[in-house]
Amino acid sequence: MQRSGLLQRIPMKDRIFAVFVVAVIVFIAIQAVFGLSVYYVHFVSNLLIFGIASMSFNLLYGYGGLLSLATAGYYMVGAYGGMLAIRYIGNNFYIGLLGSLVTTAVFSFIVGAVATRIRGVYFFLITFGFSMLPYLLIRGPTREITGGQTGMHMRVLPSFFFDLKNTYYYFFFILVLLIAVYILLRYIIASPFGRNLRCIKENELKLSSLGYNIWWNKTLAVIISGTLTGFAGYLYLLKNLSISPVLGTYFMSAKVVLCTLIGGLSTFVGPLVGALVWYLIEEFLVQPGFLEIILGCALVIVILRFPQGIVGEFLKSMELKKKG
Amino acid sequence: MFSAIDLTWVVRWVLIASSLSLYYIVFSLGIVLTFGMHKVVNFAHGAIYMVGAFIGFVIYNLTGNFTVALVAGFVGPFVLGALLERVLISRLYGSDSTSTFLLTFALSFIMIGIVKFIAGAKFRALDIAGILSRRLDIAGTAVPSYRLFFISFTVLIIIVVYLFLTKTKVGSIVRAGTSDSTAVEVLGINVKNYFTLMFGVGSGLAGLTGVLFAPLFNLYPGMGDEILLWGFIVVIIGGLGSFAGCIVGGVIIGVLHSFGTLIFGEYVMFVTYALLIIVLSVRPRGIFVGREV
Repeated sequence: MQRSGLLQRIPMKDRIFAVFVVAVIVFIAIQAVFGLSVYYVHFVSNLLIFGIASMSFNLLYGYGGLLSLATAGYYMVGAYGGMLAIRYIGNNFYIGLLGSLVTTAVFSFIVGAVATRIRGVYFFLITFGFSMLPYLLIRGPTREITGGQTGMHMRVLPSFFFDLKNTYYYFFFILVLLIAVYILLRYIIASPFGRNLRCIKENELKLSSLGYNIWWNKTLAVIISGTLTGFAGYLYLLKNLSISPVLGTYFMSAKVVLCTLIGGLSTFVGPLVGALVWYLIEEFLVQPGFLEIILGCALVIVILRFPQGIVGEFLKSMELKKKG
Repeated sequence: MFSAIDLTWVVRWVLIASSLSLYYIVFSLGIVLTFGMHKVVNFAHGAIYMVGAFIGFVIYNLTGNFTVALVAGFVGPFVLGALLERVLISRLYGSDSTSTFLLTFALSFIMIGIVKFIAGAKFRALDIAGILSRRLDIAGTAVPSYRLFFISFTVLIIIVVYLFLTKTKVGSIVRAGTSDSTAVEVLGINVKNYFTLMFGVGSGLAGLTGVLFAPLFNLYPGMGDEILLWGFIVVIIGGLGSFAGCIVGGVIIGVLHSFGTLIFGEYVMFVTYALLIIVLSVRPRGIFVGREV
């Protein structure tokens, strides 16, 4: 193989990620330069927050083969955990962050510890069951402190090193975090734990006969993925300032699964691309029901014809081209 | 609280508990039947339930006849389910159950989208008239006649499904195919058609549950989500693919969600989840898995 330049040495999927980031920055820069309304900055910020959640989901499904439907639960626990910590402990960004991460870590540990005892069909049924637990809890018995069906609203923004109200600042903050999460996830996948996780997808029996603790590896994957999703929920809270139980309906989990599959589950960029597709359709086809019909049909086609999704099929065609 | 126990109270709560249990059982029976031979976890079951309810709603408003609505609510989803199985889902037989699950997941999205597109996302109510809208007097309690109809009709459905599975030739082929489809094929039986039939019957049951439940609750495109959750929990507790497990699971969840609220109040769902965790720790594949019927 001939000596290649720096660009060639970066894997194709990371290059796609870089293109995605640059495209987002350029798009926002155009908005800023022409002084357009901040509407699309909000739009892109929401997209990126959702992107963080779907990337963390893909750690479980794309790499570990664990189809988890509890994303909505983690997302909601993250948002409410942050909100409750800020309201009842102290109005500070870090207190909220800590509250959010700790509650999601605990919740995802419970889900992981129970669900990973079982394989296959039962795994995703159990996670589906658990995904509704925070929703039912917050809507029902704890309504005195969580606001019940109406949700909660943050009146004073927590103190932080920049003004969280500034849309552009907050957008860049989320973008930096998206890149950080991406690097973190890539690092995790390359680590020994990541190798175990990929091994579980391929051949679980082999790994367990080599003496690895399958249960702990799976549970750890659920905890990492869940906590990162909860983190995305916290970012959502700080962006939109009000949260309601609607956040935790199974729709969110479904959205993440759909975006990941359409975008491609073999990379972490895939879910981002899928999320982009979702948000664009949602934005420009406002007719009720269109979004579900189009994306549902797209998913059927993906499952039957292109199991690698958009990014995966693109990478495959690039490989073929390289081989000639 | 227990000083308040009198006949009225007992009648009311027994009726609520039994109708809720039967509702869960009939819905989950559909999941069990579609799961059957190819281990398809049908995520579209909730969406088909919703489609059935809407078909029943439209037909009832057109004809004013609830029997016709019930028939349409069974036949429509039956055809829909059989068609989807034949055209799409059967392509994925042989691969792992995750891909068939995701396919039904996509189909549920499409169905909800279509109903949203046609009917909009607003809530609707099926106001039933005639003999079913009366109130009967049982032991001094005013009982809506619809509730009695609901209970007797669902019991009838369960008996018919049971007899169909155990006493007919089709039923025995289906049961045999569930445990070993290759052996059945060797006998010269075209198992494929039976798969399609069972998928249709399962979907038909979902639709029928939808129509039956429509006069008791609102109709909207997302109405299948919550019942799908409880339906899955019922079959997980009972054991996926088991008829008896479905009945036991349905009764457990139904009683828990009615009488359980008297004891645990709003915390009843924690009891449900705790029960689920206990059952899965003791018997990871449900109470009745591996038994016949």
